[in-house]
Amino acid sequence: MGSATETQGPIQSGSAPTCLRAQDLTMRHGASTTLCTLNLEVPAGQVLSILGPNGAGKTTTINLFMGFFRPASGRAEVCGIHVAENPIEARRLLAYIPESVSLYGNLTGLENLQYFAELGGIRGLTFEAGEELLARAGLQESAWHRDCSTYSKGMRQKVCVALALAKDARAMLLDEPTSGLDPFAAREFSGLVNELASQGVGALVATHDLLLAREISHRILILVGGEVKETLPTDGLELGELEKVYLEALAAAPDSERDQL
Amino acid sequence: MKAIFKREFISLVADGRFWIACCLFTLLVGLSTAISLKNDRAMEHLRGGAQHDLRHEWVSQTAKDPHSAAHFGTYQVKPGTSLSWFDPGLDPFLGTVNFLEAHVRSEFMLRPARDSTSARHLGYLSPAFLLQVIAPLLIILFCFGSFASDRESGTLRLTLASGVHPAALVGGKIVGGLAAVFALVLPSLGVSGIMMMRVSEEIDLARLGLLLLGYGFYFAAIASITLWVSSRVLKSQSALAIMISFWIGMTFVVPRTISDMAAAQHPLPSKAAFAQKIAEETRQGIDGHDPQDARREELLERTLREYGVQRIEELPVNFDAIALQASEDYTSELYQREFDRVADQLEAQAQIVRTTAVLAPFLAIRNWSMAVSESDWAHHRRYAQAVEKYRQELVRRLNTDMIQNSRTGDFGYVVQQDFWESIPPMTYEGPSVRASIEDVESQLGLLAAWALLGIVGCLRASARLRP
Repeated sequence: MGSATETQGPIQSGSAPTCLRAQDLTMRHGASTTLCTLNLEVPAGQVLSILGPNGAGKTTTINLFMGFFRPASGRAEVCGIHVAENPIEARRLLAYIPESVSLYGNLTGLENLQYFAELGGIRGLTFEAGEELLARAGLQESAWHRDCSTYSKGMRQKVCVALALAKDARAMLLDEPTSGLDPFAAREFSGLVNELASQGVGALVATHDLLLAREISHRILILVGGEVKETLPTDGLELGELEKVYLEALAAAPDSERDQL
Repeated sequence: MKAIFKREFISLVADGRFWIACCLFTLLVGLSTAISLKNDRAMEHLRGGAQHDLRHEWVSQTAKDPHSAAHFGTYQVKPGTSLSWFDPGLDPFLGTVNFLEAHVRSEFMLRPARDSTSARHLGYLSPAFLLQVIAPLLIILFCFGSFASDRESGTLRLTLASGVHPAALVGGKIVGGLAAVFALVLPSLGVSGIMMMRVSEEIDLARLGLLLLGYGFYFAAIASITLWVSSRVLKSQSALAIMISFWIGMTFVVPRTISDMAAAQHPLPSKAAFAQKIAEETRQGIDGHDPQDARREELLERTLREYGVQRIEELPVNFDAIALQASEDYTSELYQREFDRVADQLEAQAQIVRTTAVLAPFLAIRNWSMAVSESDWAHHRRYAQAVEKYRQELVRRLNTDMIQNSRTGDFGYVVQQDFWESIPPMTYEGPSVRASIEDVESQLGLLAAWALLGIVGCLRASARLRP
């Protein structure tokens, strides 16, 4: 298996400060390598999508940035903080939106927001401030004081976005964020992410949704079998062209990797 | 940590099942306390009445020779303790009534366990049993999902992603879990305490404090171990399965296995073998009723020399009574030796149980609770020794009267009623608190060690906590 640097070279940022950086990031599960010398950079205000099929290493990359896994080699950095060495500090700068956001069902959206914000070191988030954040995240007012057990997936994600706002997160990690959302909710969510990016947040989105990747991102990284196959800027990129490159990357993967897809 | 503690505590106590369990457990402990206190009071009343009647029976004896009175005998009832209602311990198995007579050291009688079905051998439904067996089960049922359920639902991922320190997360969950556990059991202890105060004339605060300390450590140990397991497994069902297995193991399997192992390593003689040995050795000894016995002749020669006379008729004392006392001394020594042998075996068994409490906190709390409540083996042995001492003194006093105030062959010698009254009833002072816990201090240490193990285990697990 070759490395990303050999095939493509690291994705370079411009002059904006780097929010997320992977340097020769490698992850192994037992004998198999699930991520091979990944190099990437996400500058402030930009969105980078990792596009790939199931088992490509997208969630592994997110988990490495979260500090949930320790890399076999290489390093993941959040705003210059070495995640493996200081995961707590790194997480405080991050907003994380998993594929399925799980909140405490017996707490209201506002209570969940206050609880998770306090865990993140934000003390004394008042009701008013919390309500304002929920409003900014697009959660309808009628839901603020309702138990989250009644929330849809999109509504739970909005609480997470409100949390990102509360934390004043410098970077975002999104793992299959629109999977299972209806087109309207998916579009609304994409808008929220772009709004955060416009405020200087650097976002890394793991997805296998080509449309989302093209709409939401400044650049796309195609990951197959733990290896970077292509990196594409989305400026002027047609969906058909993206699909063609993606399918070619999949087709070029060895049989053993395609069997996992 | 405060937010996590609050969240953990509220999520546990806000669960309707928590309050149902709390109410049912409080009701059960309340009922058990009421029944135990009622039985204890009834037993105390019976004991007082019995001792009074027995004393009356003793002092009302008609004129008779003292040795006949020694065979007439009397009963001694083991006094209750301030906490025997809470933890009857081994009393139902070892007996509480003893018959005192010449030549024979009898076994304890009135053993409710012997007259009960085998199911009762698992334990009496005393408040101690509920706190030792049922409370841990409730703690497990409420704490097993602490981490594992959060992991399954995905909230643990979001929690860790928030940037909270895992040690603070674990600390908050431990403190919240322990607070909920104490909220679960404290009402039952409160109800039990109020009921006790209503009927008890004196309350031994030192013993109550030691009990609370032991049970506090015990509940902390069960809760923290449950949280530790919950933090290490992926599924809450796995945590539940592991902890239920732990509960079954510590409550039923380990005690039973250890007790069988201890019995095999330090076996007790069968009742028949014990009786046969005593009978055989008694036959070989001085039989005061057998004038042909060679040792009686030796005793006679020694006594004649002592008094400087040639013939038995010239003795200023009753040689028959001297022989009876010599026989009593012999059998007493024999009984002492054999009972000590059995007691040493039982002590060795108890020591094994105390040592192996390192395997199961249930054993440690059982040993601690019984010792503080004065219903353990050590206290029973101490009481049995006091009873035997009284029996020997009683018989010696009766024989001495015969020796000094009658002559050999004077079978018509009798004493009057005032003599019976001159013999004081047995008095028994229980051990001090310090003496009660002397042998089981290690058990409190083990309980603390189990609690510490669970807490340290949780905190160490925090370093590897994964969503």
